[in-house]
Amino acid sequence: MRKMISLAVLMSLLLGMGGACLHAESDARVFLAKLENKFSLINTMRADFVQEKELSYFDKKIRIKGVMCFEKPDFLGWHVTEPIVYSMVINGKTIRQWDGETRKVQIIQVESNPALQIMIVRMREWFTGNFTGFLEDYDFTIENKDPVILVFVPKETSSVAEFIEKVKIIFKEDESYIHQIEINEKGGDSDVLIFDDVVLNEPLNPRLRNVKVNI
Amino acid sequence: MSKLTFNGCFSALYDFITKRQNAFISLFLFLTVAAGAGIFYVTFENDIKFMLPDESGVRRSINFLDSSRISNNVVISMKLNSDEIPLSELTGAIKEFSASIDSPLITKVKDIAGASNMGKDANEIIAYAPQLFDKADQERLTQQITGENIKERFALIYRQMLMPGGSFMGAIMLRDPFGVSLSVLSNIEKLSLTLGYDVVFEDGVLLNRDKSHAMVIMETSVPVTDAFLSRKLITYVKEQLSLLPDYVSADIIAGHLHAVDNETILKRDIGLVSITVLLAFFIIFICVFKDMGTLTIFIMPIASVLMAICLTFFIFRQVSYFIAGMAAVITGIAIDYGIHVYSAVRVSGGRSERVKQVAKPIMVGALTTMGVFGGFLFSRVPGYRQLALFSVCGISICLFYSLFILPQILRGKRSRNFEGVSRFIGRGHRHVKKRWVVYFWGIFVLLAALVSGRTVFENDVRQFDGSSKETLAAEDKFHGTWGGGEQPAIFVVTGGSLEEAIVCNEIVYNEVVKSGAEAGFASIATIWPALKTREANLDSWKRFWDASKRDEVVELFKENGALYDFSDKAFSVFLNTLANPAAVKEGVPINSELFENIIERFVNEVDGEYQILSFFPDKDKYIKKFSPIAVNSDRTFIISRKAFSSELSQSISSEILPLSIAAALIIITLTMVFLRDARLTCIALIPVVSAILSITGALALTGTSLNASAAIAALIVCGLCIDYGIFMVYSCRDYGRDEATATAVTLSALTTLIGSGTLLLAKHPILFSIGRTITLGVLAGFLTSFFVVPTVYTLWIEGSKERRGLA
Repeated sequence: MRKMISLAVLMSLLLGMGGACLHAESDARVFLAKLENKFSLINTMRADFVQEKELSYFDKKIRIKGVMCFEKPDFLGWHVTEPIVYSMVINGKTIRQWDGETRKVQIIQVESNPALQIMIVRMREWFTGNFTGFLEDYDFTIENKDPVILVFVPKETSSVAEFIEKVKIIFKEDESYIHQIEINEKGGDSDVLIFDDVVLNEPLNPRLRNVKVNI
Repeated sequence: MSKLTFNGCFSALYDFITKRQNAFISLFLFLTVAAGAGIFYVTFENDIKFMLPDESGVRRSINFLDSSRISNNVVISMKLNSDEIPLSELTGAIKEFSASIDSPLITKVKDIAGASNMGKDANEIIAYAPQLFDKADQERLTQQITGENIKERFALIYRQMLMPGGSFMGAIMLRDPFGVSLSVLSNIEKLSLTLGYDVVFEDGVLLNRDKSHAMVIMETSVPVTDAFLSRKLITYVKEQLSLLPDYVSADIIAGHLHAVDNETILKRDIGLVSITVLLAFFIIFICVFKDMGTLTIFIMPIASVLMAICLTFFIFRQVSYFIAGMAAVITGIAIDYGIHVYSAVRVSGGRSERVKQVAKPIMVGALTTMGVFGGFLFSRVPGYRQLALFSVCGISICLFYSLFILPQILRGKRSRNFEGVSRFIGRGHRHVKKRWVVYFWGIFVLLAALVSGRTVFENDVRQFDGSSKETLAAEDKFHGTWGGGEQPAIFVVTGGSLEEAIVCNEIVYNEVVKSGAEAGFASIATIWPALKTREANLDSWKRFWDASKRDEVVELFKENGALYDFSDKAFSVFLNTLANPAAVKEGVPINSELFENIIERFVNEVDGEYQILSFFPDKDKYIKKFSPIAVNSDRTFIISRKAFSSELSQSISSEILPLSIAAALIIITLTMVFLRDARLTCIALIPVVSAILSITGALALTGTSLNASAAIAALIVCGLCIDYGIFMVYSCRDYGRDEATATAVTLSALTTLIGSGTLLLAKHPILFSIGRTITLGVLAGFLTSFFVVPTVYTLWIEGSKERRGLA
């Protein structure tokens, strides 16, 4: 469960914060509301990513590489190239999955996987710029201004407080997108996502819409 | 010693009361006032159980539905009024509504478990799985414990862990790499789908497939048969719904709405009918006859009905609204006796001899009517027994009043207005062409009998539901949105203790498996077997996972886990379960929210007894398969809503035939006893036969089916029409064709027709049906008694006398 929440948080922050610039606003709600306005202008997004998972279930850190993309209102592509080849495309209510080992396309309905469903719902909220709701569960502070680093700590009353210790967002120097997201769990596990080559509001490569993408 | 005769006895009693008239009038007034005051303390009920036979399967089904949480749900379906408003507003509104519920009438707002606690639940379920470890699991596991299989499984878990959102499922797979808990999870999922609606779960809210509507289910302690509390409940829910934002609209779906609607409509109908009857009677008796003495006839049946209701309440401790509705009909019947006495008094100028002469036919008529209603006392239906008591009491009181009190009050002058009306009626009566009447009646009877063959008896009890169009439309809309139009049938297992019920439930499930239809049978036996079975399963788990097998698995895990960098911790939970499985607990076997939610729907506790429910599609093929299992034990039964509907109808209808036969026998026997002549009895029965044929013929011609309430009303018609027949036969025999009797019969029929005719204004289907039947029957009965009975008497009785005289 905590893994799912971590990933949901990670994805949410990544997609929600990209392209945001920090202003010296003391009021968190006003600040996030401005971000919401900016994000409402984003229609598509594409980025290379590196994900580093440090989990107690593994002896070593796992390093995952790939490409992600999004298009309003409900398209999401998640293409992993290392250490396994794996693609997932969500279009509306349908999820298509393909992996290089079985080389089979699996089609499932979003509703049939509650864990994934929660994550997708959250991601969609953030893609469409719905940030204000995030403050219901988290308090946030500005740790650094150059580059901008925001730290989100779950409120004690929040259900995620049981699993998540903190979430750190590091922006690119020019504040055009999020460079890195770190999620630290209470059990000691951590998940770091690093993004490069973020492209906003450009038409998505048609290959990225297919699960059998050859990147 | 003088011979004891009816006339002698009546005359003695009449004279005795006449001498003490003031005391009797005062007593009657006192009783009337007391009954008028007492009516405010009478409790009226609108419970369908009252209209069901005692100890019937249907009554058990209704009791079950009453006591279980199944029928006591209030469902709210909400939707956004504009497509431009985001779904989050709808889910937010339904959450706020749920949180706002704070009433003792609502015991719970149901929390449909989503994925929020799945992680915690998964641990519990994995720990519990050994208690469900059967032979099939053992065979499957034996095949899975190979290096190749484990390597393949680890590859799958590794891939799963790297997928977005997959860490969660991956972690669960690590805790149970052989999937021993998968069958438990699958069964839990299957059981959770027995909600009966087509739903998806999102953001903690139940949504329909296209996510246009959200739903909340509330549990209430209010039985759907309790109209009073149902009204309070619905009012409360509506108040809470009124607080919703303007952009959200909501529908309430609950059996309680039907109870409220039916009570509202019954109250309205009873009020309307009472006022209309009073007005009509007032116009006829006061305005037409211009005789204030008629006011006493007018008050008499009301006083009798009031006393009868109080007596009924005294014996039954409650009075059905349907009985109250029948008061108008009883008023129409009871007033007849007063009319006959009034007619005799006004024609004779108050001579007691004339009253004594009409007493016998009045008494005979009243006794036959009471005989018909009295037959209902032997019914298995409490409502019919109540109707019998109420009617017999009402008619008896009215009869006594008419014969002994009314003449004392009316004593004195003749009424010119009455005589005028009487002459007018008598004139019409004399102008009847003998043979034409018989020919016309013969053709009518023949045609009606032919058409009556097409009469259909309608069993469906839903025709008696007087729910509003809004309620029915909301239900149609709801089923269109959410499905669930066809609720599943329920297999109920009972037990004195929870474990006893669980054991019985397991036995039933095993039988269902033997029948090969377990796929459609949702039973908690799949996840909650009996204590002994769980202990046996756990023993077999321990035997299977002996030390050598555990060591073998540990080695295989180390070897293949290294290929994917899995740490030792990755499989520690599973290996610990192998060595130290959770102990068997009495009662609810595991601590899981998912499990608790399922138990809530599948286990009931009623008065210290436990009921375990299983659900299956309400289709004939399943009912046929499972019914033999249910009849094997007196602790099991099936609730099929489809079968229930027809059982309920049959249960009600099954009373009608014996009651009809009893009524027919009572009418014929009493008429024969009093008239002491088979031919006169046949003539007196003409209005009864004509009335019944008119009812069945008219219903068949208009394509309307006969139902239980109409059949009961038809029996009442028989009681009324035999009165008309007897009066006319007595009149023909004793006075020739006297105007007073013809007038009295006409007025009797008119007052009854006013009573029954006003029921045609009723919106409630039962009252309307009763009104239609009585109006049709009494009209036909009156016309034949007025025109046909004297004619047939003349042709048959007097004709034969003439023929004998000639001979």
